[in-house]
Amino acid sequence: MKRRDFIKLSLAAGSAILLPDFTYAATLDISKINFSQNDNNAQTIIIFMYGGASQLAGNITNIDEIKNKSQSSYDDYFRGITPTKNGCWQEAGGTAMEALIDNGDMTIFRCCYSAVREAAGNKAHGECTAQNQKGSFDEDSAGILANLAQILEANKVVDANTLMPFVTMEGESKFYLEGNKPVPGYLKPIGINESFENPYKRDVRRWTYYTQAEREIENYSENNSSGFDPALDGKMNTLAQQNNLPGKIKDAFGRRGQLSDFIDSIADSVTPDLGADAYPDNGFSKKIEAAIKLLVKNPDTKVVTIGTGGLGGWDDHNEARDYVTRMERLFGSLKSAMAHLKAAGKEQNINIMVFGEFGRNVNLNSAKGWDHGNLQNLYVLGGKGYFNHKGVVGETIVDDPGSINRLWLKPKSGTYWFEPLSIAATLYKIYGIDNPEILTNGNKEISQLFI
Amino acid sequence: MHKSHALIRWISILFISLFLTNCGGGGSPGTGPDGTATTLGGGTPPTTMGSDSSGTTTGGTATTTGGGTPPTTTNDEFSQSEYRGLAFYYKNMPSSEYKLNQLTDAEFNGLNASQKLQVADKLLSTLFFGYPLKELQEKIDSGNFIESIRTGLDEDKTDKEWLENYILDEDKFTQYDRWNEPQAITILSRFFAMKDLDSYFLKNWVAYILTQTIMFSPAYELESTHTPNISRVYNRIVTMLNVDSGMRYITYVHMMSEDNWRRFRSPEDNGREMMEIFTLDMDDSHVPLAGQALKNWKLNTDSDTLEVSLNQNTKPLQLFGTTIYNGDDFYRELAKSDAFTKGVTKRLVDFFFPETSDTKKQQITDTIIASKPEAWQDILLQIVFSEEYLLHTHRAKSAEETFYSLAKKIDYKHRKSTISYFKEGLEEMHQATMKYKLGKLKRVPLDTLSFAYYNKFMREQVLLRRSNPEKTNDFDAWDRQGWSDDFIANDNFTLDSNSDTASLDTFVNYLFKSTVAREATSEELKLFRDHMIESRDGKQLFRYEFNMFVTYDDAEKQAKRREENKRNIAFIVLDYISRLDMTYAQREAK
Repeated sequence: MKRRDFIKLSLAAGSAILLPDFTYAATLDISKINFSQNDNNAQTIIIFMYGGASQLAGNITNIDEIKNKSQSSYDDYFRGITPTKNGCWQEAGGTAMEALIDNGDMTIFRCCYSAVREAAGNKAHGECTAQNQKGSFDEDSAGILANLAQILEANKVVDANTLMPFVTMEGESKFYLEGNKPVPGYLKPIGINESFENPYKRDVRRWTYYTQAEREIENYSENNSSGFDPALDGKMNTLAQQNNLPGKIKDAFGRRGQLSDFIDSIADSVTPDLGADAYPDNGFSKKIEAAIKLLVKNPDTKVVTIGTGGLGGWDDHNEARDYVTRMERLFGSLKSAMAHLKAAGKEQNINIMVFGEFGRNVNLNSAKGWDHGNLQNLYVLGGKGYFNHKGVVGETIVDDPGSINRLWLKPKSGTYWFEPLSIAATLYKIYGIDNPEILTNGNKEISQLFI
Repeated sequence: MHKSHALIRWISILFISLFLTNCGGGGSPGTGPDGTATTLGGGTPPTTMGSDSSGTTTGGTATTTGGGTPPTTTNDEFSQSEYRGLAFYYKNMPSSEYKLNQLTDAEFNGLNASQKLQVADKLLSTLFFGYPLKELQEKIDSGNFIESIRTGLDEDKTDKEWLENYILDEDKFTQYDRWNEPQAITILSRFFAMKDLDSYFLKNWVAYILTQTIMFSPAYELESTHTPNISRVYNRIVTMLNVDSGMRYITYVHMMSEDNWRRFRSPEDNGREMMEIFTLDMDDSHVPLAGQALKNWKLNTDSDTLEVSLNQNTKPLQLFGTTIYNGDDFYRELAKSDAFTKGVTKRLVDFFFPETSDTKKQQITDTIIASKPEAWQDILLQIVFSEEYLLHTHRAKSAEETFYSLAKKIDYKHRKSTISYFKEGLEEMHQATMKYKLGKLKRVPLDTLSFAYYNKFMREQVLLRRSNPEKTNDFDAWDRQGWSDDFIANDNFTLDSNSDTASLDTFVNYLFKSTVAREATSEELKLFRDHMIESRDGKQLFRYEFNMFVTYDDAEKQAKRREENKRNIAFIVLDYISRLDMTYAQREAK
């Protein structure tokens, strides 16, 4: 980020009214988007670490100073804090991180830091989550993926015939929040889970649902391909939808049948033999494995969003040893995911972005955890057809204002850093938006990924 | 009478104290830094009977006036009990003192028949209740429907001993030991079993609503919480409501509890979140102050136990417009502050008006605050009985609203695992009860997957299941679960053996009005006629499998077959109803 942008952003936190040319118009204005068709066939998995994950797994370069200043002893509490060659925490996924870096599959950005939030004194889960998932500091802006959907549609990349362009495995989130411009139903995300359970399927083959003529057809009500759904079922759907008011419930009913078929079609997909990189046995692995299967099977899907359910949340105010285990599992799964992408020949197209609402401070508090911070890591994997991975980017320093429990990491002077909104800008960029900063309060894409 | 009332309340407070054995206390255990009065060791504040409640400084700790003044019109010592300006007890405010316009019976009676049915259903389902159509219609026709529901909430009709024995009877409800959060299942079972919409029901409903929000969620998803936290948080609220505890006092006790500390687990975390949640204060510069006040509080990793040591802060800290020192000061002054009323009112308005514009929600919030609420019911009932809510608000129904109201309307019978299935269903719908750390930020997620599970549960587990009358006493039987034959008994609608079409129409309309509070449209009636009626012998007659007038020489066989055919109609109509958005929505009446 340029110094001028930073100053403007800092000011914007407290005095946006003085900068009318800077403030963002919440209504998406497609005409201001510069769009270029590209052939990168990008697909994205966004892994959002709800709760705000500590950055230490990917960055213990400052650990000696942190240990000296921490309220509780790191050495007494943790069962090992071994730095890897790039300064990652070996016991907290560091070994897998190094393997991914060595293979040129991943970049760790260590300075995803918000000067705007620092100025505004904001470290609240809700607000920071919303900002990162909307790619904007504006309260009334839409989610990143609601914007992206409309821009792709306006530029004829997706349309009503595109099969499930956005998929969520985390339920509703602000990524899909509609702004002032309504999003058509076919652009809204569909939900699936890692087991490809199909609650969309509806059993309607009671004999009383069939007409006499239908009943004369052999095996009419068999619950397999020999049978068929009665015409009454379709008539009931149609009439109910005529009576249903526009909205999410009507949308959900409208897509039910298609979704049922879609899930049935991908449920049988098989993961290639990944050998030593086989997925570890945990709930999160099943999620990311399912996400990759889906993207491989259905190139129409642009983005899948998932949380880290199956591992646990990242709001590690206490018992931070759990964090170490969680990160180890997360990166074990991501290493397998990368192997899966390669086995499927998709490492050029599919990228994975891992981040949360914020990072954590580095004081190990009285409950042996870390409280809210403002600097986090962004982990970017894959997408090698359009990203140039650089291993580790960014350096940090310890900031110790001297008051209780205020011990932070901050970007080192002169190092490469960016606001979290630049993650949104990067997403926009790879899908063809040349001026993403007009959607992200002036924050540009993460340039280091593209040079 | 006065003395016996006071005695009951004293006993109740002792009971509450038992709930607080894990409370942090943390006030000045002994003598405070300023030499002020002490708190009780377990964290229950002393009852400073008849003490100064004027908001003056008490022993060096200034109190704000935000705590309100407890009722002074009575000499009842309990009504005047307070702790450093934090009043304990408040009678619910009379609805005449509400500032948010309430729907009156006069206005209700002025609605057309369809609107009246819809509004009545909205009110009842919001409260997780419902009546069979005939009974509901009688209540509506009485002319004082609104007032009768309101006054009913003041009466205590529930036989609590029977109720608790019933829901804890392992022959009727599966009783889990630890798996599947049995405490949550018990709470859900209680709503299913309560027969009367009375004061006990209301207190449970208030506790339930509060524990769904970010304010009081027991958060069983967290590793640091344990399943008893579910019942401790919930039961404490019910118990405190039983003795007319005010919302500030209930919140103060909750904030001090181990249950709360298992959710927000460090001084900074707990301080930050309490300010954010209850006063909407997101200012990070206030967090170190809270952390300092709570510096001697911690969640010990040994069994996630709240531990408050004696090395409390002694430096004066400025928060909530006053000076505080320690954790007890922090929680008490937070609860007494004006920002508290604004915060909790806003939280509840957001919960009930999710689709309303921010501007309108702020108006509603401000209006409720102007009425100076001091009890949770003052806010919640003011919302639920308001014109704005009943007439002008549209939102998705929570699964509890849909399930419990439908259950009452269709005389739904349960089997042993019905409620545990419901609890699992809520998780699949992403409407899990009391699970989430931050409560239900979105009360009813409507993403395709969440809604698919919601629709699937209501369709397959509720609407398309008929209870086998032969299994009435067999709670293990799968086919005990479902609507009873009473729901579709012929005395609920008018059959005309001279007109199959008219008979079908009246039955269909009955099913619609019972479940979604409206009649079927002409297109809907035609859909069912086309499928169930055929031209025969120059007449419009029921097809064989739907013929409610089928005749046999054998009277018993005839009756049985007629009932079967009626059920065939009901299943199709109810299946259609399961596909209507209004089954899952609280609708705008005007």
